[in-house]
Amino acid sequence: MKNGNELIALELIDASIIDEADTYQKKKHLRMPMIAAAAVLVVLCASAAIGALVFKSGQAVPGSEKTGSEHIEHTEAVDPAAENEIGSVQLLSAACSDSGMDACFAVFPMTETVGKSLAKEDGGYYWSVDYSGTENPNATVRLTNLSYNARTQTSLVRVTLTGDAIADDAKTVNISLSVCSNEGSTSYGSTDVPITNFNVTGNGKIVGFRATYLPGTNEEAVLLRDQLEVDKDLLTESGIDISTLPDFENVFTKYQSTNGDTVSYSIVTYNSADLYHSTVNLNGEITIVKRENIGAYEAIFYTHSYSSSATGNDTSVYASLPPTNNVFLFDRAHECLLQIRTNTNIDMVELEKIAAGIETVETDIPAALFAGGSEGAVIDYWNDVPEMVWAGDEWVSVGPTATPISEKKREEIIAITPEAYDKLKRIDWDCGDGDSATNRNVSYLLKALREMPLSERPHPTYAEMRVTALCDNFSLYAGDNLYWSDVIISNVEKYEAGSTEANMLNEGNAYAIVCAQTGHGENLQLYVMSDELLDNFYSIGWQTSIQGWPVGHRGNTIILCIDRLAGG
Amino acid sequence: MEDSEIVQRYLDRDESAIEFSAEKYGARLRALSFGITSDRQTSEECENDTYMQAWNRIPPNEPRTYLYAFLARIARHISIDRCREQECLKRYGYIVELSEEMKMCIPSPENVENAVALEVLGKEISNYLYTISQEKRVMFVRRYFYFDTLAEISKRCAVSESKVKSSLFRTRNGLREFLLKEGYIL
Repeated sequence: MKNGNELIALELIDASIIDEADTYQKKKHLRMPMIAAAAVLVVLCASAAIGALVFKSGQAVPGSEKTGSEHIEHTEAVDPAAENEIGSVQLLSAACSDSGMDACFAVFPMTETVGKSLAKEDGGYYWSVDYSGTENPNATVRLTNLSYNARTQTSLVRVTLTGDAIADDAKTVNISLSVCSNEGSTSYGSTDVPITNFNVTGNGKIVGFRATYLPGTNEEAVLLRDQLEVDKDLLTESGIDISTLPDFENVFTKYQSTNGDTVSYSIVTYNSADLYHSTVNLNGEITIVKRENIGAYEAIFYTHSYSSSATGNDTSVYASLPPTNNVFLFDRAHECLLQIRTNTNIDMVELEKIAAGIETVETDIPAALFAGGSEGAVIDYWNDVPEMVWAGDEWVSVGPTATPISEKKREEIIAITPEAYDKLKRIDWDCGDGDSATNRNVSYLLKALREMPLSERPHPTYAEMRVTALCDNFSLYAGDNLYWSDVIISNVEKYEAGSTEANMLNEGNAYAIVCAQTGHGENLQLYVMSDELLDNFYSIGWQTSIQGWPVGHRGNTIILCIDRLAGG
Repeated sequence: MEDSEIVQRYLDRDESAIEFSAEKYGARLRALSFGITSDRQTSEECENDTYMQAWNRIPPNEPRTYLYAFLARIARHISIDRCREQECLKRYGYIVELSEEMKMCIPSPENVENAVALEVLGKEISNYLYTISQEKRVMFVRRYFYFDTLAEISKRCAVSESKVKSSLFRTRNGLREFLLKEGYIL
C-alpha cells in the first residue's frame, strides 16, 4: 500500500472546509469585546428582518436603545427607505470576530430565473460584492448563496470577510451587493454592518453556578468538579493542581431537568473566553418580555418559538412550535452568561424562580484555558453543535466558528406530496417475520421516497404528510443502516414485540412517525405517538432528545406520519 | 479579480487565466506545496504543474466559487507525488507518519472500489467534519490536508501543542466511528 494514499482521500473534502482552514487564524490578543445585556437587547430590537438574530456577545447598535416589550418577527417586506431603489439589501444577521465579519443579507427583488440560477450556482448569474475594508492582501471575501424564496422574490446570501479585512477601528462595514452575468451586472444597493468594540475581555475565570431552586426530576448535570477532572491533564500542564481547589460542591456548569422524555429546562454556562470568541444566536421569533436585574445578573427574559416553512427550489417544512420562556443572565463582573431554556411546561413565574436562585461560583482558573474546548459558540440548542441561525428561510451557519452549509445539504430537502402519499399508501408492506420484515418495511418506504424525483416533491403541510401502510406487525430494530437517497440513515429505534409501543401500533391506536433528517445529523428515527400525543408532537419531537438523538434542531427535516399501521 | 472571472478565462481558453491565478493564489499554493515538500524549487515546480493541470481540468470543472480549493487540491496531490517520487527523506517520513495516523480512521483509497465511491468517501469525511467545532476541524485539515506540524497548528489556533494533539486524536476517533457507522470497513 503506497504511503500517502489515505492522505489523498482528504483532497475530496469540501472546498469550503479547505478554504476555512487556510484563512483561520486565532489571535490571543483581545479586541476588547464585552457582553452587555442591554446591548444584547438593543441588537435584538434593531435587527431589521427578524427570524434571524445573530449577535456577537454584547454587540450593540449605537443609538438604538429600546425598552419595554418588543416583538420581533420575520418580515419579508422591503425596507421602506429602499422603496425608490431598484433593489434592496437588508442585513439579517451578523457576527464579528477579531478580524472578520460573517453576515447574511436578504436581497430583493430577485426574479425567479435569477434567484434559482444563483441558488444552483450554474454560472448563469453570480454574486459580486464590494465592501469598505482594508487593503490587506490577505483579506478575503467569500460569497455563498443560501436560498431563494420565489414567493417573496428574496435571495439570501452570506458574505464572509476574513484575513484582517476590517480595519481595527472600523465602526461599520459597508456591503454592496450585485448580481452579475455575462450580459452585465445589477446593483442591489448597500447596507452597513455595525462593528462595535465591546469589552468582554475574555480574561475571566472559569465559572459555574449554584442554584437554590431546581425543580423537576430526572436531572442531568455537569458538575464543575467533574469538568475539572476531565481536563485535569490540561490544567496540570498549565500549572494548576486541581487537588488544591475547593470542592465546588453542587456547582454546575450545566443542568438539565427532564419530564419523562421531555427536557423541561436547561441551564448552561458560558465563560468569558467562550463569549469573547463566540456568537450568541437566537433563531426564530423572539419576544423580549422584560429586562431587569436579578441579584448580580442583568437578565433578559424572552419568549422564543421556531416556526417557518421554506419555499423555493428545494424546500423544508418545519413544525410550528408554541413559544417557550427563556432568560439570559449576564454576570458582568465575571463576564459570564447563563442561559436558561425551557419547554412549554415552564411558565414565566417558574422561570423567574429558577433564575432568582442562581449565583455564580468562580474558580481561579483562567477561562482562556478552555476556550474552544467545548464545541464552541454560545448557541440555543440543547446540544453542543455548531451555531446556526434562522436566516428567514433556512438554517444557516454564521459566526466566528461558522460551518458553511454545503450545497448538497440544501439539496437534500425532501417533501412528500399528496400524490406521493397516495403512492405510498398503496405499498404492500411485506411483513414477513423476524428482523427482515422491519428492514423491508422501512426500506420500502424509503425506496419509494428515493424513487420520487425532486421535481415531484412540492411543499405539503404536515396535515398532508400521512402515509398509510398496511402491516400486521411493525417493529424496528436498532443498529440498522438504511439508505435514503444519498443520505445515510442510522439509529433506527427499536420497539420490542409486545412492548407498549408495538401494541399501540398493532391495535391501531397510534401513529408511527418517521423523521428523517438531512444535514449535520443524518438520522432516521421512529417514534410511536398516540393520537393525543400526536397533537403535541411538535413540542415533544422537536425539543427533546429522544433516545439520545436531538430532533429538529436543524433544517432539512421531513416528517412522515405512518398511521394506523395495524390492519391498514 | 473574482474567481468567477478567472474561471471564465480558463473556459474561454484565455491564457491570462493562469497569470491571474498565479497573481491571486500563487503565494498560497507555493506555501502549501512547500509545507509538503520542504523544498523551494520543488514547490515552485509544483505550482507551475498545478496551473497546467488546472488548464486541462477547466472545463469540465467550473470552480467559480472555490477556485483556491480547486487549485490547492491539485497542488497538494502533485506535491505528495513529487515527494514520494523523490523520496525526500525528511518529508517522506512525515508523510508516512501522517498516513499511519489516517489509516486508523479512513479506508485506504486502494480499498475503495472506484472514483465515485472515493468521492462519496470525501463527502462523508466532509459531513463528519461539519459536525465538529471549527477549531477542531481546522486543526484536522491543517494537519492532514496542509501537512502542518503540531507546532504550526498550535500557533495558528493559539492553543498548546498538547491540546492540538488530543484534539486530533479525538477527531480521528470520531471520524473512525462515523465512517464505521456509515458502513465503511477500516
